[in-house]
Amino acid sequence: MNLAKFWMSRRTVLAGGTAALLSLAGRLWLRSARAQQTASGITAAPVSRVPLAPEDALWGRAKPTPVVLLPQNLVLPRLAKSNLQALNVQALYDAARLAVRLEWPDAHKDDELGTVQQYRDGVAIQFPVNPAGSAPSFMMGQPGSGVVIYHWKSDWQFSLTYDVDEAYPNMYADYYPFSGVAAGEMPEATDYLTKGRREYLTAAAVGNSLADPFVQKRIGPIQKMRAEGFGTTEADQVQDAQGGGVWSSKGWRIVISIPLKQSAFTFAKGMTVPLAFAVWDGADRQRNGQKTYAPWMNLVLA
Amino acid sequence: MAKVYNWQIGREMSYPYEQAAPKRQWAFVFNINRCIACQTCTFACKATWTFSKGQEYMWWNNVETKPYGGYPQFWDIKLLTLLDESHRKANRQMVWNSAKRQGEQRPYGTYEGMTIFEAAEQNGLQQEVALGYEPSDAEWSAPNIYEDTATGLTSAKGATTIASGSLPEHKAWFFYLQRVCNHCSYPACLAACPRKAIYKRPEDGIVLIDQERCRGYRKCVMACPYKKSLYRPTTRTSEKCVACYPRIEGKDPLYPGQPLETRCMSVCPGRIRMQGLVKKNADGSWAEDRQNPLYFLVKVAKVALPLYPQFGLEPNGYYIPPRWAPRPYLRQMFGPGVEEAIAAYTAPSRELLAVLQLFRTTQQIIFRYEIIEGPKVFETTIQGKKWQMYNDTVVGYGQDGREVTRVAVEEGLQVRPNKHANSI
Repeated sequence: MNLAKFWMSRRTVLAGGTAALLSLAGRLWLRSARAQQTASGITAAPVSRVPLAPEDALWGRAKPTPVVLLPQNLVLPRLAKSNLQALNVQALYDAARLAVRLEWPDAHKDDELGTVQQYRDGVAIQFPVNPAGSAPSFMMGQPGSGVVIYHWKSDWQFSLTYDVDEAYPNMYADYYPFSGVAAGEMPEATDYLTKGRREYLTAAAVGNSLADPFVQKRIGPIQKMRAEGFGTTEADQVQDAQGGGVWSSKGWRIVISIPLKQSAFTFAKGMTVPLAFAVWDGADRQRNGQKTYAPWMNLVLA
Repeated sequence: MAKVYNWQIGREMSYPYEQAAPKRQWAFVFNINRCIACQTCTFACKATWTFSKGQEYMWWNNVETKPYGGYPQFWDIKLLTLLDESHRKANRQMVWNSAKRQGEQRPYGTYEGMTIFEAAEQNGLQQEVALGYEPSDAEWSAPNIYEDTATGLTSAKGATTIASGSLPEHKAWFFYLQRVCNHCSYPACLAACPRKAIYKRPEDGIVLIDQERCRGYRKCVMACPYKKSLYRPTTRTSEKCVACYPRIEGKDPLYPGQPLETRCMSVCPGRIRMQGLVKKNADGSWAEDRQNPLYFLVKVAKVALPLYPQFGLEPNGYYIPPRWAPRPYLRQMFGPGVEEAIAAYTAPSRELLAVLQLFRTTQQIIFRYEIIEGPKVFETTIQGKKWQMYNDTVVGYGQDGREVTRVAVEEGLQVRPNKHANSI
């Protein structure tokens, strides 16, 4: 379902009136932000084959660019402050793919979502669906002028099947009906999808990729998404990202590799494409708009 | 934020979305006085909706013992504390002006404090849509903590009594509070969801989380003051009471095409529960529907009151308050209508006594009732006033106008014939 159709068909009684106003505020803010950011830029260096490993020696060929991050305090829900100040960005490209390495300090590896209080670490890059013409709002785009987002999720890389029995290893339950496993045995979410009844893993049964470990495994840790404004993020029909990363006591080092050929344009030598960033710190309960971000910066393919 | 009218607090209030009232609103009345905390409701719900992995501590219906019990633990005291702190910072008070009582649009007067939406706007840079907090796993993990624990606290300094006291107000007391999602007119879960994954159905006002759109941000868990949005780790999304919507839609094979009350309502052995659908006007007020039992109980008899109306959500669950509990505690929980409600329940009018008999005589939703008058069968004095009981018969009608129940005030007497002596 496309986004316009979604908004038209949705049975929300309480229709949103604030989104348009916030979008306008975002655009006004964008003007000053863009003036600041155009002076700096990220240069992608050409290589014969882009590396997927974050520790690959080839990354030495890419100029590191520090990107200042800001707490998202423009729209609700806001993040008042964050300890994370900057993200280190490098980019390489070959004949088929563009790879971006993102590094930032994070003292806690948050990749387990087995309890109410656990939130994932994550990072995302964003660019316009079509970079020709004026850039959309850096805040997830706007209706009619969308953005492409590649979102790396820590749990999709490290903890696909982590849930209650991993969070509480001594738990016991005598029977889970329709799970596909016998009484006394502990089912995994995947059992409902293979041996049991899908509808009892409700969100997965209705096609929510966040609830389906099989979909997550097929996609890999980086999900491609589209958005046309706040709260409109949807998984893209095409999933073409590669990469992942490592955590050490210094923080995260993540590679996001994407095809040069996108649906509406192709990244090419000499081209300049606006790129925006977002980072979520799970330990700080950051999720959705409560994140640090960097508005559009120019990515130049050297 | 937009301005919407909340009749429970008798004034306009801030809300992120414009008024868009459903045609009918799912609503219920619980008679706290009759509950024995058997948890049949709780397990009917569990056995219907939440028996899968990741839902172990998910109770869409729960019954807790007040004042100490709570699921999650201390949910109401924690939010009241946060709300109190917001008022102190803003140099305001959480007070009601009962002198402003007027008609159906201000039946309890005007709440002059801040709702959770208004309090969230107060504290410097607004970070959240509504004032709230995220309970920990530990707080969710003991749904029946402090079961049957009474309090005899007589002063703020901790002096207690074990003397029970006598009506109208006991000195040592507890009561059971039955809780499901209130399918609020102004839901905080819906307001707080940044993805608009939560919606309120125009046909019956039921509030649902779209499991396809939910991304597990848990903003609804944080914002719902009643804590009835719950996180499920196996799907990494949040889930909540669905008001047994297939039954409301008449899809239960038991009575095809006829709206049925939810599972938790239908099974209640204590006959404390009644659920139905009330008609609403476009401005959000209740359309007059004099013979709808819920309309009568809430709007005419004023015997049933909303839970924490001061939070500002216009919850659609109504409670007949326990007549033995201290009034200040009850006023905090149900607002200024407490005295009137308890007076109405203690010496019920002829009509109220008849309508109270309708509770749990059918699973079908009663849309209209009629009373057939019967003879006077009893007379006494209640609190110094003469009170008379009539053996009236009350008849309930379903959506299609057909009779669904018929019951008299006096229960019929059945004499077991001798031939069945000692048989089961």
